Amino acid sequence: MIAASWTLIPEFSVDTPGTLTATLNLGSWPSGSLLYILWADDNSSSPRDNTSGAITEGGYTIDNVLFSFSAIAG
Amino acid sequence: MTTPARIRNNTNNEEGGYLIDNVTFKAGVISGVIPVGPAGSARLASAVIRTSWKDGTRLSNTGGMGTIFDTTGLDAAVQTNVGAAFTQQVGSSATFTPSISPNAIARWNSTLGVIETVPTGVATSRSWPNCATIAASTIRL
Repeated sequence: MIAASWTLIPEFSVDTPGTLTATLNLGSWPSGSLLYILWADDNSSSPRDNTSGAITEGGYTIDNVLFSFSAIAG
Repeated sequence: MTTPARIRNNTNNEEGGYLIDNVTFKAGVISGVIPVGPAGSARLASAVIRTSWKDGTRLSNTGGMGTIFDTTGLDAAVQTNVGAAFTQQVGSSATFTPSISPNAIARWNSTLGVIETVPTGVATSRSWPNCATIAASTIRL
């Protein structure tokens, strides 16, 4: 993946904990080539202790990832 | 040192030969790339794919706390990165209470078994501010 060619996955850009699922159309992706999944978390100025009543930004965690794909005939 | 002379006919306290049989090799993520075959991947716990996650916080994300304040700014910061440049292994932390702890880089939480990001403006393991913590996982189709 070269600079300026990343594609946003809206389904992953949420702040609600839980299982996130997205279906991506990769077009023609050569077998054996690499695909990068990039995760970005901004450095907010909000507190991070997850305890105060104010707006807080805790952390984000990632676990249990599954990749599958289906080829479109034709 | 000399090797004792022993007969090799496997009869009395001698040195015979050695055999190797039934060897199984299994695909893994040793190279730090998740292989995804025609059947897809199984559900992969972060402990399994930990090595596929690389931190890119230092690459090209200048600025500090509060520099990015909306999704437009975050998306713009993302676009400056190149996938192949993500080579720094994620860090490690065991802290989970009262919450996972801030750090400039993405980390593997060995207690929770997850990849975590809690960006902070003052890096604890590296001495520069950052506007975002960015990590990438690599898969091979």
